[in-house]
This record gives sequence, structure tokens and C-alpha cells, in this order.
Amino acid sequence: MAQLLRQRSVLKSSAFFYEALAREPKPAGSSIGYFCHLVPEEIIIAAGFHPQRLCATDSYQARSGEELVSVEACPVVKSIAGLARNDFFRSLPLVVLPGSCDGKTRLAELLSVTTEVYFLDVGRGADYLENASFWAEKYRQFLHFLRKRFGITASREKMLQACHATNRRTEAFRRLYRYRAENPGAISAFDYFAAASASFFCDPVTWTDQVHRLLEESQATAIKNTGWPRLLLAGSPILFPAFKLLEVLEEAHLEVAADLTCGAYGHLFDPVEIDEETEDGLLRALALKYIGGSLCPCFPNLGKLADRIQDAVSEYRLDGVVYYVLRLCQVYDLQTITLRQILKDGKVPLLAIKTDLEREDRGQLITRLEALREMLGEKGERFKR
Amino acid sequence: MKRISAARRSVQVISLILLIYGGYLFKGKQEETGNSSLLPRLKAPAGAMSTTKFQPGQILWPSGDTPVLESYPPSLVCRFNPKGGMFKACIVHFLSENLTWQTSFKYLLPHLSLFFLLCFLLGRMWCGWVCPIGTVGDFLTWLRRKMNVPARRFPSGFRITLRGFSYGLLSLSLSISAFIGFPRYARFQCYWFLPYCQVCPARLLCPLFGLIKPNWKDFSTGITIVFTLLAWVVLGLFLAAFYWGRRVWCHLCPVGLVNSWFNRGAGMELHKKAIKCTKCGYCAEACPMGLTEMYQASSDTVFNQPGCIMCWRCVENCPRDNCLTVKFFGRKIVASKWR
Repeated sequence: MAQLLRQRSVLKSSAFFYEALAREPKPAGSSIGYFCHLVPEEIIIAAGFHPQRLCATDSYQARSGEELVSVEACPVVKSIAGLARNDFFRSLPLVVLPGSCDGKTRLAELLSVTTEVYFLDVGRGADYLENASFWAEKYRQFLHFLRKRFGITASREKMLQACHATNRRTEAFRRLYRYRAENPGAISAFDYFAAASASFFCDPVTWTDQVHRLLEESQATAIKNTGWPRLLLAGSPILFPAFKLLEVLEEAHLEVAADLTCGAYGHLFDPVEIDEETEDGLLRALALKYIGGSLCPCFPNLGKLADRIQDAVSEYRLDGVVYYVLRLCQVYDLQTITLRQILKDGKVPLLAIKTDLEREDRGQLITRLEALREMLGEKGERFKR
Repeated sequence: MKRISAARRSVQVISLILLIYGGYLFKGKQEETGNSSLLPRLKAPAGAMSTTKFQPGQILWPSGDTPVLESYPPSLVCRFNPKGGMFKACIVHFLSENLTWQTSFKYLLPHLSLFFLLCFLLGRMWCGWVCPIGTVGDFLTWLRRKMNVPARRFPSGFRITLRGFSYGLLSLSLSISAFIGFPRYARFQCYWFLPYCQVCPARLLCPLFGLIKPNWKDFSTGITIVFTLLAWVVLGLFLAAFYWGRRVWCHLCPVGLVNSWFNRGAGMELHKKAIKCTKCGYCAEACPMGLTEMYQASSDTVFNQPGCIMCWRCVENCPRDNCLTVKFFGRKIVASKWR
């Protein structure tokens, strides 16, 4: 899969990301696995491990995972359950699961049979005033657990270093994000999402360098502007290798100019803003980065998501929004209609697409997306006049 | 250190040197020209108490001589600075003193106008950027951070209570000052003159900058014993508040209270663009005064509520570009920008 995508890419520097995706992950002994963008990577890095984000949307693994969880479960949950049969997964010293959605909470129990699982409780509130101390306390417990379990110090200085590394990564990602949004057709959505997924496997410093290299190469290359309508992609995560939605969007001649999904934007866009470099201050800052600023629908974040969508659409002058719901993922599905109503008031066209990891509905999706393109095309012409 | 913090630290250090060591820096010039102040010099009427009448060993002995300029800027400029300091005193000292002296309003007017003008321009920025006592406090906060001690955070109710206490302190000290101004009660002046100054931590701290021993105890009479003990308690509270609670003290400071009345409508304003906000809470986290209104605002807001000392830490900590903006009479000064 990675090889196929790599051949399609026009930029040579993107090869690094596809190779990182195709390669075997780092040796299991040096990595701590985790799911969701709510787990603080900096703490894992400070503990001397590579934070290996394991979030998977793989149709093969999903089918294999059906034996462990229900057929009617969310594809991500099924994929994770399928992954649990993997040798790599079994040999991980620790897997961290946040109690974000019901599926992840349940998996924490199911996976503890095969490997050691740390359940990170993040609560359900998203308000700084009510919850910040709770989040920081949970992160502190996680840090203390790591210290005790592996007999390491994971000192404040190491956490600070890790924060600086991830902040530089955020800086590179923001550059990439802005560059893509402002230069249509410069870097394809495949390269972008592959780079985001590759950040799970690479250490922040290498990844940062490679993103800067990719941007420099793209800036030196002549851009062929396709003139396709430019869209914002929000909703469920787009993770390698489940790029079906990107394929159908490309076939319908629509361009993903920016995204708000938790695999790319949610994972990399927000920095750690260190107010006080005490241990307490660092943990609070991490909690605000990961949970406070999160758009995860497990928390009451709908208004925030609508704000982010409207801001991105007006800032980058985008034509519309595709809201992607992974079928059977309740939390994303439930807020679709309300979100559409909010955006209708703001005159932002939104197309909700509900699909799973299988490839059967490709033709149907293309038809719907082509209809969207025609609608946006008309609208675009109306705006021009 | 971040951009705005670096600027603020520099301004704070320069103001501290100017305000406290002004007496050393500009004294020679003043002696040549005499006390040349543009504004009228306020003098105690015959028989009334004034700080110059106190002897070493008494609480209100000003530990130096007259200031360079006879003005009262909106910041905690202490009368008890070594060598008199740059300016005469703070606004609370000014009001108390002149209530006791029953100075005519026409002499006060120029001083008050200058004070109002400066407040109108910058609001409570005087607290965050100029106040030397705040600078000392920020140094204590810096010390705590270096020692890896977590900051104490206080609920909003505590903040409001402190503000209530501040009103109490100010009105009590002003009414005592007015009371002892009447000739009938003038005999109390030797004990009750400038009641807030007697307990203010600045009176004990400022002389230390000139290596002058402040009058930290006076056990001659019952009233002075009470004031001495009170001053100790207040100094302890002051140091603890700044060490653990960042700028929580500034909610209690009566000088800050007077400045805060001008925050709304001041030239310096803080604007929030709500659509850019992700509600991450970094602004509320960074606020040394513990204010959360900036975080809570869900529509575009001009943020100039009384507690804000305009340190702009929220602006520099906001991870969203152009979400928070500082404007001076509508002109953009600085906006939040992450790298």
C-alpha cells in the first residue's frame, strides 16, 4: 500500500514518510504503545521510550478483531482488537489506553489479557475551570506509574526537553498545514496524511527535519494548480492505510486543503505552552495541550468544532466542509445534524459522509462527491460575479 | 523567555531602579536648582503631622530625605524609599496625608489630574509593568519556579473577597485620616497619621534597597506595638502571597484598587476574537491574577476588567494566532502569535 502511494507522489522527500509507514516499527522493547491523541507523548519520551501511537484503521485487522469484540463495533475498536493478536503488540512493555470513548474503555479490559495496559482516565468534562486539575492529577499518576514500573527518573528537565522537541514538531506541522492551505495542489492530501501517520513511528526530531525538507522541495517545484474546489476535512481520523476517502475525493476532483481530524491536526497542531517550568506547571500545560485544546467528540466540544470549522473556512477561503463519520463510531455520528445546523447559520456548506473501511461503496461516494463539486462550482461562480 | 515577558522584565527593572534609586541618581541636580517641581508642592499646615517630623526609631521615619519630584504617579511609589526616591508617594499616601492636612482642593487638582491622565492612558499597566513592589513579588515567584514548587491557585470567590478587604482597608485608612484632620482630634495624629503606610509592606521593604534599616519595630506605646505587630503579619502575608500565589496580593493592594477603577475605559485594551479560541485554557493558566474571564468569554470581547494588570501573559501564551490582541486607543500593539 505504502509503495503504491509512494509511486504516485510527485515529491521525492515524501518517500521518507511512506518508508516509515512500510517499515517494521521500532523494536517493541523501546516503545510504549498508546491510543488517541489524549495521551501525553512528552511524558513517555521523558521516560526514555518511543511513544508509538497504535491507532489503526485497517480493514484486515478489523475483520480479525471481530472475533474479540462485536461485529457491530466501531472499525477502530475492531482494528485495535485485531492488532492485539500481532506479535509486535504482544511484546510491547506497556500500552496506554485513555478512557475517551466507550470502545477504548472496554478495550482497556480486553487487551489487558494479552499485554500490560495502563488505563488513563481523562473524564468527560472539557472545561478548564472544572477539569484542569483533574487532568493534571491523572497525568501525574501516569508519570509516577512509569517511574515506579520501569525504575526511571523521567525528570523535569527531560520533560522540558521533550516539550521543546514536540514544539518544534508542531512548528513544522503548522508550517506544512498553512503552506498546504495557502498553496492549492502543492502537496497532495496523500502525502500530508502519510506524513501525519508517519509521525506515530518517527521520533519528533527526524520527523521535523523531514517535513521541512518536504516543504523546501515543494517550494522549489512548480505548482500545478488544479482549480478544484478546496475542502476542509473534519470528523473521524484518516489513518494509514485507510485512505479510501482521500481516493474518492481525488477521483471526484475535490481537494482536501486542510483538516481537523485527530490523526493529523489533533495530533500535531497544538503546542505545549509552558507557563511555569515546575513539574506541576508542566503537567498542567500538557493537560491543556492534549485535553483542553482537543476537538475530540468524546467531550462536549461541538461548539468548539463549529468555531474551528468556520475559522478555517474563512481564514483559508475554503469552499466547503466534508464531515467524515466512520460508520458505527457513535460520538462522531451523533453530532452530525447539530453541526450541520450550526454551520448552515454560518453559510458554510457541509457534506456528511458516513462510511466504513470496506471498499464496496466507492462508486456511491464518488457520485455524492461529484454532486457536491457541482454545487460548489456553481456557488464559486456566483461568488465570482 | 518569551518576547512580551522579556520586555516586561526590562521595563520592571528599569522602573525599579528609577523609582527606588532615583534619589541617588538625580539628587545632585535637584540640590542645584532647588525643589523644582512643575506641580505645586503640598505642605503640612502648621502644627499638623508630616513624615518629616518623625525621628529615627519611629514607625513613619522616612529613612532619607525629600524626593526628586513632588508628584504622585499611579503605582506603588513609596515615601520610604532610600534618599527620598524619585517621586513623592503613592496615591493612598497622597489622599491620606491631604485628608489629614485638609489641603485645599485647588492645590490637589493638578496632582489628581496628572494621576487621572496617566491612569486613563495605561490603566492598570502601572501595576504589571512599573510597580517596584510587584517586581519584588515577581522575583519571589521566579524563585519559587526555580525551586520547582507548584503555584497555589485560588477560587474566584477568594479573589472577590480580597477585593472586598481592599475596599475595607482603603476606606478605613482614609476615614481615619480624615477624622484626625479635625482640630479637635488632632492629638491623635502622632499615632494614627497615615494608617495604611504603617502596615504597608513597602514601607519595610523599600528602605532595604538603599541598605537602610527600616523601622521595623517601635514598642514605645500600645498603639505602636499594635501597628508594629500588624506590619509584621502583613509583611509575612505579602511574602507568602507572592511566593506561593503569584500576584494574588495585588487584589488586596489599595493602590492597585484605585488604579483598577480606571481599567475600564483606559487607552490600553485587550481584545479577544472568540472564533479563534480553542478553549484550551492557557490564558487562564498564565494569568498571575488568576482571572478566568478571558477564557470564559464566548463572544468577541474587550477585556478590561478591574483585576487585570495588563501583563499580557495571556497574549504571549495563547497558541492561536491573532486570537488575543492588545490595542492602544484602537491601534494594535501586539497580538497572540505562536512562533
